[in-house]
Amino acid sequence: MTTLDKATETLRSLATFAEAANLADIAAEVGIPKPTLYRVLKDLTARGMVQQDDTGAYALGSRTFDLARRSLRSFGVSDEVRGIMVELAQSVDLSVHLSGFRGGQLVYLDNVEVESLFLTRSMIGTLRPLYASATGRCVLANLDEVTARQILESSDRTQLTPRTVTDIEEIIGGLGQIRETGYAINDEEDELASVSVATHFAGPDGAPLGGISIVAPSYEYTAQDLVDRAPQLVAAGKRISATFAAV
Amino acid sequence: MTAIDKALDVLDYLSMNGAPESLGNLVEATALPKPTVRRLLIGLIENGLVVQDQQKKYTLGNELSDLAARASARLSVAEVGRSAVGELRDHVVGTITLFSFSAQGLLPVLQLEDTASAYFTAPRAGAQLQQTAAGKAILAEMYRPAVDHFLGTSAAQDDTLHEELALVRERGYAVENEESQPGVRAVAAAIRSFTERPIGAIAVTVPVRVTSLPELIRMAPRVVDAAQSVSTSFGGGQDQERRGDR
Repeated sequence: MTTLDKATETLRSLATFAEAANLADIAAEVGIPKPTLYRVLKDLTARGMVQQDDTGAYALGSRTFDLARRSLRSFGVSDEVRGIMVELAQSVDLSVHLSGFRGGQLVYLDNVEVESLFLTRSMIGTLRPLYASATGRCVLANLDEVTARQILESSDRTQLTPRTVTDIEEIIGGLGQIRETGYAINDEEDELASVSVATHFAGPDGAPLGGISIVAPSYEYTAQDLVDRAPQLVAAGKRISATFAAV
Repeated sequence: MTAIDKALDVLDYLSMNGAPESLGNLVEATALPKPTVRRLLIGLIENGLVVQDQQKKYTLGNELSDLAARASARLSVAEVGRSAVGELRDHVVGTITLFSFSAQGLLPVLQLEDTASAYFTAPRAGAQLQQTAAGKAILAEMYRPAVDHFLGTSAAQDDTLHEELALVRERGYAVENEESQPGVRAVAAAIRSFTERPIGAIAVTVPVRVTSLPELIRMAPRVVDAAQSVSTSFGGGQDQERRGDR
């Protein structure tokens, strides 16, 4: 492990603690000796990546959040794209999510929520699993097979719900149909209680840049209900792709 | 300089203009030898702190927003805002209300009344966003399509409202002058997160007969500072660097 690896692991660990954590707890979580961890935390604190409260406990610092904001911003989601999302959400009366694909990873970038009793905590900014999300599989379907396979092989493919498909061949096998129809369905494969349909959008060269999905509570909507809304979704995806072509 | 310092220097440089940078520019900016920068970038990429795009240029990585999102999911506006609101109490008159904001609308999560005053007012429950100071502060932070989505077609076409929101954006605070209830004025500022979305607001509500409009506006900088200090905990940026694209 390099010093940078240790620093990143320390930041990851701090993100998982509900409140500020003390040195011993972080050391136990990251699995590095306390003196080494102390030096790493000292460096990170000096740069504002980590902050210490009055009791000496550590938490992520404002610089980490600041860099996070700039990282999200660099995806450059335009008002035009947000407008297309709003129109789609209003026409299907369901929430719409947008994710960006970059560096082989899928990042949840934005949502338009419609009023519903179904409360979801906004997790904008998080990495989404490509293998277990409808958007991820739409992106995979529009990459060359070698790249798609590489991404699947390097992902952990955790069984997130009883319905998660983790077998690479099975996932690859389903991509042809996604390419053909333009959409993918996710029926409680990444989280229970949620069903979604997604499509991808692409840059002028055809390379996938991300995807949008219609997300609904699975106690109210079936996968077929969402398939019925796929034409509007696919049309919205094409309009988003067109905004990149215009630039 | 430690290894962490050098790596963070690279991130600092990448964060400055937001555009992807070439290896050459990074070497020049960090004043480090090219092989060192190359090695740093490999480590940063492996840790998800930097990504390389198709043009082989470098930009801030996806791990950063993932960290911030997971950390802020554990923070609540009510808890983080508690101390800022408490401090504000010493500097303003009137009722201080801390709101959280989500798809379900504005929700008051903490209220400190002005015990020194005989008259007491509070934000009206169930008022429309565009009628209250807190609501206008929130709307001013939203992207235009989201404003239209929240307000519906009639308000979306209200040019006066959009002009006022532009002014709110410029000043950093919103004012309500008896719009949601007669005899009541308020000033409010929004709380933002690292996602550049409004997640709450702080409002100060006063009776018209006790506090004049100029007196209310004189309190605005305090309200803005309090909201900004809560925003900072959630990674919300300073006014000047936001919404450069508008």
